[in-house]
Amino acid sequence: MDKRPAGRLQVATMDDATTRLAGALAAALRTPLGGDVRIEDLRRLTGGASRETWAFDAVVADGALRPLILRRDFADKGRPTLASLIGIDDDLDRRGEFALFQTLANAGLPVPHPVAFPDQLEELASCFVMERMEGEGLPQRLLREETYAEARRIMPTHIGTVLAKIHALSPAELPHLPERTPARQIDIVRRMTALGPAPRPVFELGLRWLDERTPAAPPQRLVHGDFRNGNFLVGPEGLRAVLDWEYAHIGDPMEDVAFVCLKPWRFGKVDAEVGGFGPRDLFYRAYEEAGGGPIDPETVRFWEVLANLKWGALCVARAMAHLLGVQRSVEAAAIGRRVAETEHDILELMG
Amino acid sequence: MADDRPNTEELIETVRAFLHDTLLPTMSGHGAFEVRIAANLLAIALRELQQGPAAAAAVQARLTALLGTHDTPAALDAELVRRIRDGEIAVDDRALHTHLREAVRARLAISNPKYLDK
Repeated sequence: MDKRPAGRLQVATMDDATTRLAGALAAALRTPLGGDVRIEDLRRLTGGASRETWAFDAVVADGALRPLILRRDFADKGRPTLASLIGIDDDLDRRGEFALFQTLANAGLPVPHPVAFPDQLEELASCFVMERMEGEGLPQRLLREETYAEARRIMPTHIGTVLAKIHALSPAELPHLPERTPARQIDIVRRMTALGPAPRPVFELGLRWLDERTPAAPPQRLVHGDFRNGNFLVGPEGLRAVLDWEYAHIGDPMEDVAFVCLKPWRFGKVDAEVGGFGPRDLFYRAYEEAGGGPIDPETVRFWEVLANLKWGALCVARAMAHLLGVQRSVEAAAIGRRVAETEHDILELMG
Repeated sequence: MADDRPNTEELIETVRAFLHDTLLPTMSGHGAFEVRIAANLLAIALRELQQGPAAAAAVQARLTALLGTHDTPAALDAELVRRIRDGEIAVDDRALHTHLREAVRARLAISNPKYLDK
């Protein structure tokens, strides 16, 4: 048995790359934080298939401690991303995401405040640093622990209110974001499904169904693009922040409305349609009362089918990455067998 | 040899039970998460050994009737995809939807039977 305390163990296992990263961060944060900086407790957090997230504390000259988060693209630059495989080259990069965070924070939206975009050192290519807020983000805990019972009750309302505020921002006042019309989103999903190893009749039928129902001219607003349980920071009192804006784009706001209701993001609480927290009518009402909408159920259904197709194609891609040895794990293998669930949901939605 | 015990199914069930009942209680964090998944993957493999051949035969029979042509399961699926893509089958064709629902249900009965209860 290893009797060393957890803190010692962490220091003992900090590898060369982590030590170099800590040194680079200390140098890069001198100017933004106004003086000498000591980096403590630098550790990689789990989660995130395409980006790394690190947590650390910056101790500044007067001894004050700043809890911070580092977000950076995978260090393995040689590995093709899903976006590159399907010919998408205009997704937000980390500089764009940082600029968006600045705009959102200035507009008073609940997001972690961005702190620095240090791009002068190799270790810190494609990354940014932001405030580390207190709160819980893990869906399994949020949906099951007693601490969050009251939060669960209020979350559908909080989610609706915040989403309406996000969609109320004028695209003209935002930094440059990729545009994603409904037709473009269908095209992206079609390319994703084409990456799979075998023909999938349900995917093909879903794509045809979408073709026939493409919203003609939806409003063009800021869309979060990954708006779901798992990207919310929550306290016992409710929603504290909306995280992970890397898929933000200009598009149909109903895309976000649909996404947060998707079955995979209910984490087993299937009857609580809004992220496993609670009923859809509370969410819709809060959204419309806060100035969003109006919500057309048929448009939401279009985006739910599209998002399910995208998730299904992503499940196939994760399983293939496992089978090809790109990213092997039992989790990736298991995700491959979740495609049947997605196809079941798509058929149900199409009616 | 074919007559040796434990047989294939028994071997898989032995390892599944070991992972889930013996190893899992000693683990925590991400390790426990992965062991739980590993045990579940073996449960899927076991159900597929037991139900897979009959389910596949049923799907092939329905697909053969739907398309009016005989071929391998993969070729039948490819033909179905082609007809959907080319608009030879309507998006709301009831026979098509019935077939796809039955086929998905058979796969869910193997990959995640609880999903069908929800």
